[in-house]
Amino acid sequence: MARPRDGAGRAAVVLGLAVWAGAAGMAAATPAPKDICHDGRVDKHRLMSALADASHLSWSFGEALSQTASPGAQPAWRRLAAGKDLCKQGVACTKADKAALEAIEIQLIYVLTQDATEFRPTKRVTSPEAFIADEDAQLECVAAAPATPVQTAAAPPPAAPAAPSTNGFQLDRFRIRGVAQDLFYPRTAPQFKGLSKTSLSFTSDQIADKETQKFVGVLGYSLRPDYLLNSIIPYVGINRSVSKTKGKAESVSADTRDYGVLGTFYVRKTFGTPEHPLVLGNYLTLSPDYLFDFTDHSAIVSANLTYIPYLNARLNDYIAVRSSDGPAKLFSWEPIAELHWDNGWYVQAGVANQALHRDYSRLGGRFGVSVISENPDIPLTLTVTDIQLGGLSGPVGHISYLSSALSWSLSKFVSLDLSYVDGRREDTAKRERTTAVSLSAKY
Amino acid sequence: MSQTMSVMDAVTGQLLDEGRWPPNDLSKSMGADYHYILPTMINFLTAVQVRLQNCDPVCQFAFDDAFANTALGQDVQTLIGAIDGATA
Repeated sequence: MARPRDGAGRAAVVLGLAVWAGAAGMAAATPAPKDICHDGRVDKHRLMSALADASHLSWSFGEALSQTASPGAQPAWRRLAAGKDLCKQGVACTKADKAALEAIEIQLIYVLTQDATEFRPTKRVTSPEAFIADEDAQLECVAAAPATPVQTAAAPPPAAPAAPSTNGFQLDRFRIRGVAQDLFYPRTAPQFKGLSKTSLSFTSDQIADKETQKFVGVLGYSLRPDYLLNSIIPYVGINRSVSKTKGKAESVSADTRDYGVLGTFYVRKTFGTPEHPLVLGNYLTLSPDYLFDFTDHSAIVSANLTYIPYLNARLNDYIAVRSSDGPAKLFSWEPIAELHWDNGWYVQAGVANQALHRDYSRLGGRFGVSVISENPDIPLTLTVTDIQLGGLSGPVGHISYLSSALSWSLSKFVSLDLSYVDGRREDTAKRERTTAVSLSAKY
Repeated sequence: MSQTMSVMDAVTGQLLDEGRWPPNDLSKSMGADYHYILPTMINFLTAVQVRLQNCDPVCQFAFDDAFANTALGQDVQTLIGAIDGATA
């Protein structure tokens, strides 16, 4: 028999039961209707008492709570809805009491938000305190639902999906993005929302009588299916922008092709305590690339090393921001921080800009933030990043490239984007400054 | 406490530590609603592994990146079942 060595896990156990039972279509950790229902409705006093018993809230805490003054002289059972915040309101709490209060709060949120089969809310509230305080917010006791199969501890775990075959070409291993670095993330990753997209845009300037067509995109193929770690992704990229002003010759401002391979490696290190471990994932990518610029016939071979630290809910991972009156997530944001070391060797200096076309080495990083809406009716994503690189050698001493994009998702793969970039490109060191509205796609 | 209860304790305790509980919808997957990607899912499973070593007697949970990749498509209950099955 396995037993946690301290009492702090109790809240999580109760929560675990709620999750386990809830997903299986029942609510084993929820108090039984016969214990808390009165005249067809849940008696809030009985409910809170049952939750306090189930979470093993100590008698000494109950006494301390009764003896502590509260605004409006609320009875102790009503005040329990404040959860572990009570410990900040002058009531003495042990670690076990805090865990029990957290369990009560979570279990109540579960009952209010997860449509338990035994109870039906008369008014939608998601906050335990709002539920206790609002007389219009009640839970009606409904007749027991037909029995559903219950998954027990002895039941075998669900079978994992069959591993995809690693032989032959598979469509789902293709990735289409705006820049090669974004090929790391598979479509199943939440970061997929914030990634750059292949775009084809047409701009018509009727005052200058000028029309511009622009295409930017990278096509990659993951040699391992949806694996980020220790993977290899060969790719080909195109960046072409052509303008035509009435009465003048066609002007090509950008026309590059590049071919490369993205290799990724991952190692992790554990910190913290056994009760609250913290894991730092160290993600390294190496991307040798050959880029040919058709505008000046230059060619460069480059090798870029990128380091991305992953620290869950802290760095390069989404952090949820919730509503102040309930558990619903409003939006999530991700602090982005990466280190880049770029090296390039010109194999062909080209016919123009030869002063710029010299071997280089640059060190710096990419920093920024991505914010995604958690409301499915407002499918907005905002990503702002800035690349700052200092020159260790080569003709360009400093690279700065600001990139921002506001996207409205039309589907998982297509969106309407408003984007702005300004600065020198990381790969060619050429200046760019564009504002564009585009219909974008990625896969 | 049974092994399954210890696994529940470890998984849900780590979700709480990472501020990922409660989700907007319990039926959603670890990837779509909890916003895990493969590196952060591997970090999460590593933390669960450490928590399970804190049990008495010790529970040994072993996983590889294929397990973590599959976990991205699972909901919490299914993941608890899968970890339980991979724990000795």
